[in-house]
Amino acid sequence: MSQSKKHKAMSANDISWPSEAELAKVRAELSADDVMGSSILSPDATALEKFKYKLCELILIYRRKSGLKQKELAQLLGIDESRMSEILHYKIKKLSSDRLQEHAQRLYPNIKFDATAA
Amino acid sequence: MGQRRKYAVNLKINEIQITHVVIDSHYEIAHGDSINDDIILDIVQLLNGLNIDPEKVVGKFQYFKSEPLHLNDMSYRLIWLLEDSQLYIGVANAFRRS
Repeated sequence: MSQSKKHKAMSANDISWPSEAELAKVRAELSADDVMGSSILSPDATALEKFKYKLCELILIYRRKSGLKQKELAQLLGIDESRMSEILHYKIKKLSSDRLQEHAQRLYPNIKFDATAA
Repeated sequence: MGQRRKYAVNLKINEIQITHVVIDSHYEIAHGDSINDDIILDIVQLLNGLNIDPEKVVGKFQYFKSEPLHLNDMSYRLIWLLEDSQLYIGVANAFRRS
């Protein structure tokens, strides 16, 4: 049993949970290497990486709030779907800050970018 | 305790205030020697404050894949879920990548 030694475990009987069949299918599908998955900033991310991550997040939030599908947002921004997917999955190593800024400005016309010296 | 264990947390994911993590015991089958509930709870904390799109939606469940999640010089993958109108995050699978 891998129950936590630091936190109190409770019964989860009150949670409605996906069927085992559905979970098995999802695990298999999502474990495939061709399913991109979303990246998380590493603990030693640079200021530029954090900036790019934030821009990706703003674009993702726009998509969610507007209800646009990924393909529709890609068309709006004039980019292909694979690039759109990279943005929405935070693949910042593949993305330029210049292009991300352009996309963010297109979606948020009043957006401001600040630089603060430490 | 049975197939799933529930722990209290205080997180915000996709602008939702999450109050519990539910961990499915499935990960123990293949990955129990390198990960446990304590590590998973620490990894889930790394999602705090983030906005992430699901990879798949089936009915009221949204399924997510997040990686790499860095913890103590190790890197992990998390397959997790949110249920519509509920305040828990479910962990369907978790394992160490390096």
